[in-house]
Order: sequence, then structure tokens, then C-alpha cells
Amino acid sequence: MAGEASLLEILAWGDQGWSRPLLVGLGVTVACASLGYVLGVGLGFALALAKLGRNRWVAAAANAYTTVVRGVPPLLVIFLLFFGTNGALMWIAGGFGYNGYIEVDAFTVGVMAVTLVSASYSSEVFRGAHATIPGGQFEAFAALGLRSLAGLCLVIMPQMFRYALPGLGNVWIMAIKETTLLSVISLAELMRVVGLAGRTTGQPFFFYGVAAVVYLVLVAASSRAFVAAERRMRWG
Amino acid sequence: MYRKLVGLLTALALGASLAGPAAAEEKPEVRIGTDGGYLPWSSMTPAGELTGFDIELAKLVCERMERKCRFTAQPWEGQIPALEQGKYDILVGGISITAERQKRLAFTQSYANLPINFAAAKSAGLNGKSAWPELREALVGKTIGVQSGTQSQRFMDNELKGDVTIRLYDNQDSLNLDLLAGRLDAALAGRSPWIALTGTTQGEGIEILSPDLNFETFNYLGVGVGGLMRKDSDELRKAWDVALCALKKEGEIRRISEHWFGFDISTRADPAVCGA
Amino acid sequence: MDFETTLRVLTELAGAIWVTLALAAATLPLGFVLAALATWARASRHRVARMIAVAYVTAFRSTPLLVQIFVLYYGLSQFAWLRESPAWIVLKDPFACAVVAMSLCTGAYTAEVMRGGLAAVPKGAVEAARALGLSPLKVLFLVTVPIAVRRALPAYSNEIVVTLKATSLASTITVMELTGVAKDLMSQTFAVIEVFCMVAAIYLAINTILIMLLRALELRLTPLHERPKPQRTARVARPNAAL
Repeated sequence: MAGEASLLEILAWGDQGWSRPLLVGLGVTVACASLGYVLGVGLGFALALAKLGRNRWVAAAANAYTTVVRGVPPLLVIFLLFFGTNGALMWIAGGFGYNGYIEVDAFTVGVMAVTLVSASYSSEVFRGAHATIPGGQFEAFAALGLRSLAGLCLVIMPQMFRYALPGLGNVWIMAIKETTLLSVISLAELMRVVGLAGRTTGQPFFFYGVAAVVYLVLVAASSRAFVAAERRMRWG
Repeated sequence: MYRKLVGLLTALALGASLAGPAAAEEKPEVRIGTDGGYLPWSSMTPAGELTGFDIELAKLVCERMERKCRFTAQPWEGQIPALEQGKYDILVGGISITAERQKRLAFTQSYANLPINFAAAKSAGLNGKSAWPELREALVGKTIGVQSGTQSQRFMDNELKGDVTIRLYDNQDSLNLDLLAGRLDAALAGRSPWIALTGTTQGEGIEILSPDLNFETFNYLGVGVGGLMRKDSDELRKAWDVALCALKKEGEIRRISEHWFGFDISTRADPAVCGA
Repeated sequence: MDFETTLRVLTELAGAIWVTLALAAATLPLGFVLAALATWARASRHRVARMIAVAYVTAFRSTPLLVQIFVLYYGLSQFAWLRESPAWIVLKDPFACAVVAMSLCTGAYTAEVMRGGLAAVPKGAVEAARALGLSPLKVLFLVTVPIAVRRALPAYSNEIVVTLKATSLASTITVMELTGVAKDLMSQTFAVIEVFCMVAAIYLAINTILIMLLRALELRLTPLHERPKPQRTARVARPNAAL
């Protein structure tokens, strides 16, 4: 512990300073959050379609998924994935006759965790958006002779995304925040670096303060971007 | 990871293993797992490089074995499952050899031994007890911190559970912070982190409490520190032991222990393993 | 996992349920009070009070709860002057620290819920009450609050579930609630997946019961003519689950 070093020295760029690891950590945070978010929104859309679809069993399965993921703390989802995926994958591979070691690293687990959680929330956002579309429209495109898939793609989906945008913004902010929990499985994202730096330098307050400011800026910038996107998508 | 997964999928798709025979000629690299947050056994520089007594020793062993080694940092709590699943070939980093662990896993010979000690603020006046029962009496009712999954936690569960409030920490650094902050009346860990802590300006007010707690009095604490492996890695274990024997005889382990700990913690060569 | 281990794991987990529930039970009322204060301050005539309230809500909603917990627990304890102040009585204890951090966080989110509820109160109803000659205090408690509570309840139910899940973060500062005990049991028994699946099932059960109770309450508070709804109330979800 180097309690004697000044904050400037601690933050210096180079082998002994923490600026570079912090920046790398931020990169990992953003990469993990955005990758998981994009996959999660995709999966969430599929889940929403399943919930709205005609097949009762598929809809029930999609609803059960949402209930389970929303009912369990994200920290636990992460632990389960972290300790469970290796074994599960190897068990499956073993069934195919592959007995080697398959590793799922912390980053992949992180992306998976963000994906699973944001999928469950975004599916609800999409479903809510679908409910706001006036029923008359479904009849209108049927009257125009559009087949249901074409109608879905051309009429309903663009509107669903527009109505879903504010909710999807919330899911993105949630994804950023969820990445902080990945520090418990020592993925070297921002929170992990901050914790390490705070403990080894004996300046935890300073480093957690830095983290708070960085997340605040990240969230504020994201909200702005989503508001701007909303404005652009508003027609008329 | 992605490459491995893709490789696996390809192998599955073709229904045959493509990589088998070519890799057999050159021995695969040894994958070493270590904590990276357990000074001075295994720690990490801001640049992200692993360093410490066990890292240096393992590098020497790899040199002797003429094998390539790759180190990966992972917190202790996830290490044993990862070893069992095959992520690592060996774990190093101040891991005590205990009967319980030997039931499931295998150890190299012991190469170092350090007692565990309580540490507390000097102002608490807990130091100077000559024997454990005396110290135990003084600790009753106190709040004591310990790193989870360590021998120290084992000791707490065996000797003090119910009489003190036990707090579990994920790593030594957090334990240090709370001891310094005064949230803990005392903390228990291997002697080495306390030496590191009391050597800093922040740690001036902390002292290491006597007596030393070790294998002689509490035989579940283990005969020292070794590398931890799966039971099926006999070949690697033998090679590792041979290298350790040589390093012990040449005084290399003593040399690096003096560098990292300030004194000699190496154990003598095990005659059952190294011969006379 | 053999029978004996399973039994031991279950007993220890059962004991930890109470810690989890206690954390949530201590956090929610405190958070509610903070939210009420913030809501009141945001509607205040004093600019400074308004600014403080807005800053509080923004700051705590824009930063992850884990950061807030760590700042409060490990961050503040580095200052010697603070350790000598009376605040240390609270900050010294991990459980109290967790409650304070989580209350501050849920307070900020609940303030938003309250604002939403108040915004949903029709202006006409308030004016009508005033026209009847009710005092401002009576208008508040007989008209505004009952309507706002009903409007805000779905969102607040959500907040309660989120807070319950957030208690799992207390394990990172040595509080031995469900997740903390699970981590300890895992390192002792090596039965990682089994232990975590049991804990997940416990959380799920608690949350399901909570949601059912809250739905029943919502239904009771809904006036008869509004009751059989064609679709569920749009929940102002706070997806920022437990973070």
C-alpha cells in the first residue's frame, strides 16, 4: 500500500499510475454493456413476439422466463452463469464425445448476464409498446390486403420501436449499471479496477468518487442520446 | 475463449477431432491459476502483471521443467471449481496443505510454511499473550474479520464460532481497510499480509498478536503451503516436485523468500519425495 | 450433494432469509421518508431546496447502487475525522451502512414514483375540492394523496421488489444475508450450482408472494367501476433492477 503517494502520482499515465487501467476498464464496461444490450434487445424482441403470438405454450415459456429473471437478483444470475456455464457446456459437449476443457471467460459471462437480464426487461417494453398501437391499424393493413408478416414488418414494427424507445433507453442504463456487478467475478471492468486501485493505494473514497462521476456522465450522455433519437423518430 | 468455442463447434461439426495428434508432440503449456490479491504470495502491478513470491517460484519451476507456463489471475473463491473443471493445471498462491483438501485434490510437496496470526490495533492492548487460551479469552465478544475460504476462516469456525462476531471478506485488502477503519477489533490471516501491512505508514497503529498459530498446535491447519492440483495430474505433480527439490537444495527458495518476506519461510526438502 | 449437506445448507439459508427481509424492511420505510422529503422539496418555493432535491434524485438514479454502497462503506471510512464523529456509530456497522445506502437509492427512485403519482391527479378534482371550501391540508389528505397513491402503487410495487433484490448487494460489504451465506456455503461444500439454485428459488418465492400481495392491494384500492380492466395497468417499470 502506497499511502504516501499523492493523488497526481496515483493517477499518472504509465506503469505506476492508474489512469490507463481505469480507461481500459471503462472500455470493458462499455463493450460488455453494449454487446449484451444489443443481443438482449434482439432476444427481448423475439420473446415479445412469443408472448403475443398464438401458441400458448411458447407464450407461457416466454412469460416464465421473464418472471424468473426478474424475480432473482442480478448478482445471483451472474454467479450462476459464472459457476454454472463451464460445467453445463462441458456436460453438453461430453454428450457429443468431446471431453476437453471448454472455458467461458468472465467477459463472455458478463455479456451473457447483461443479455439475459436486458432481454427480460426489453420484452416487457416491446409488449407495452405493442399494446399502445391502436387496434384499428391491424384491421387497416388487413383491409389493404397486406399479408400478416408484411404488415407486421411495415406497419407495426416501426411503430413498436418508436413507442418502445424511452423504455429501451431505461434498459440501456440498466445494462451499464449491471456491469458494475461483474466486478464480483473479477471481470476487469471499471468497478473492478476502481476497487483494486482504491484498496491497493489506500484511497478508496477518491477512486469510488471517480467511478461515481464516470457512471453519472455515461448515464447522462446516454439519456441525452435517447431523447435525441426519440425526437428524430417523431414524425409530422 | 471464442476461438476455443469455435474450435469445439468445428470439431463437433466434422465429427472428428482435428487438433489431437499434432499437439501431442510438444507438451502443452502449464496453466497456472493464482489469486493476484494476496500479498506477498501473489499480487498484481497497476500494469496488470502478476508478481509475488509464488509467481517467481512458479516461473523458476517452469524453467526447470522446461515447460511453458501461463498465469491467470482469479479470486480464490472460484479457483477450486475452476481447477476441478480443468481450467487450470495447478493453483499457487499461499495455499495451505490440509487433509480436507487432500481428500479431493492433490498437492505438491510443501515449499513454505508460515503461521497464521491475529492482528489488532496497538491501542486495543491485546498483544503479549503467551498462549492461545489466554488470547482466546481476551477475544471473546469481539468482532473479528477473516478472508473467506481460507485456513483462517477454518480456524475461526473451529475455535471461536459463537463466542465472537465473525465477518467474512472477499480479499485481504478489504479486510485491511476495515481493520484500519476500526470496524474490526481484530483480524486473522497468514503472518505475511500483516508484515506487509504493519510496514506501511497507514498500518503503523496495527500490531501482530502473539502467539503464532500453526500446525503443531492445530493440526488441521496443515503442514505448509503447496501447489494444488487435480488427482489425475500425476505427471505434472512429479515434475513439479523434482524441480522443487532442486530449488530447495540450491537455496533458491530461501533467496526469493527473503526477498518477498524479509526472512526465510522455505521448508526443508521432503525426503520421501526428494530422496536423502 | 448428500442428504446431510442439503439439510445443513437449507438450515443456514433459512436463517439468512430473515436478514434479507430485515434489510428490506428497514430500507423501505426510510427510503419512503426520504422520497417524501425530496418530493416536498421539489415542490418548494425555495430555489435552494428545489436544487438540492433535484441533485439528490439525479445523482442517485444515475449511479450504480454498488458504487453508492462502496463509497459509503469503504470510501468514507478512510477519513479519520469521520471515524471520530457520531456518524461513525451508524457507518461502523455493515448492516446499518447497507440500509443507509439502499435507502438513499430507493428514496431517489421512489421520489420519481411519487412525482408520477401526483402528476396523475386530475386538476379538476383538486379544484372541485377547493371550491367546496376544504382547507389546503384537507384537500391534500382527502383528495390528492388518495388518488396519487392509487396511481403510483403499481410503480411502487415494482420498487419494493427491486429493493428486495438489491439486498443481495449487501453481501459485498460482509452482511450475511441470503447471497452472502450462499457464497460461504459454496466455498465450504463445493456444491456451487445446487446452493445457488436453492437461493434463486428462495428469492423467486419471496418475490412471487410479494407481487401477489401487492396486486391484491392494488385491486382493493381500485374503484369498482374501474376494476375489470381489459389490459394491465401500464407499469412505470424501473428496470434498473437492483442496481
